[in-house]
Amino acid sequence: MDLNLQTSTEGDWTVIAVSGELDLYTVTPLEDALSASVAKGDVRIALDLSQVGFMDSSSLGVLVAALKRTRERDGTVALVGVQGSPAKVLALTGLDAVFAMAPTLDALPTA
Amino acid sequence: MSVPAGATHGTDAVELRVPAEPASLATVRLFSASVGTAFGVSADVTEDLKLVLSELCAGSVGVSDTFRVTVASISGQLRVECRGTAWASGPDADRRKGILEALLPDVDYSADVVSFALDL
Repeated sequence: MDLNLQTSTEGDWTVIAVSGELDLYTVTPLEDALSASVAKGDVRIALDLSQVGFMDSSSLGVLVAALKRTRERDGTVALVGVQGSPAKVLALTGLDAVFAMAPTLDALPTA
Repeated sequence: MSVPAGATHGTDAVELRVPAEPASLATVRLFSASVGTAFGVSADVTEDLKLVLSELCAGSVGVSDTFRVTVASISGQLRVECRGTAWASGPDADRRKGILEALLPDVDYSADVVSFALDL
């Protein structure tokens, strides 16, 4: 099952739109995209997960690692449009209270 | 009933055997969806089953050569037995364990076998 990523800019946010299913097998491209974004100095990264139908614990590890790296630079990672099974996984692990969450890209806070 | 390659089924049980590899995870979720359809499982329980079996299959990577899951419908419950997996292993073990324990409060597990039941 393919994972598709598209990177764009919305105001001062770097947006990575993800579609597909995120698991131990598919998460590597997202990990690479997040690492590249952090490496080039992005500190406000929004992950649009509205088209993600499944997310597992391996994916959470990648998201948490990215959050830690951006926080070291006073930045953040926001999760956008999370619904269904991914929302449940975030709630079960308590990570819905750790990440900034937004229902849509329009709802992301401005600097 | 439509089941993925690697799956077999008898009159009241289905079984899937896949290599214990990350590439098998999507097949395991497809199997879970097929089980949900075949046994008339609700959409919510089917989603939980997909998550649990995918996590258990991920836990089999590096632990075993084969991940095997057997599902049967007995007395209003879906009885599931997984072999070739560790309850929670690998770099994401703590988060995996948290997810599994939250979804499976009455799980039974030993070194190589995880079994649980979900209400239909």
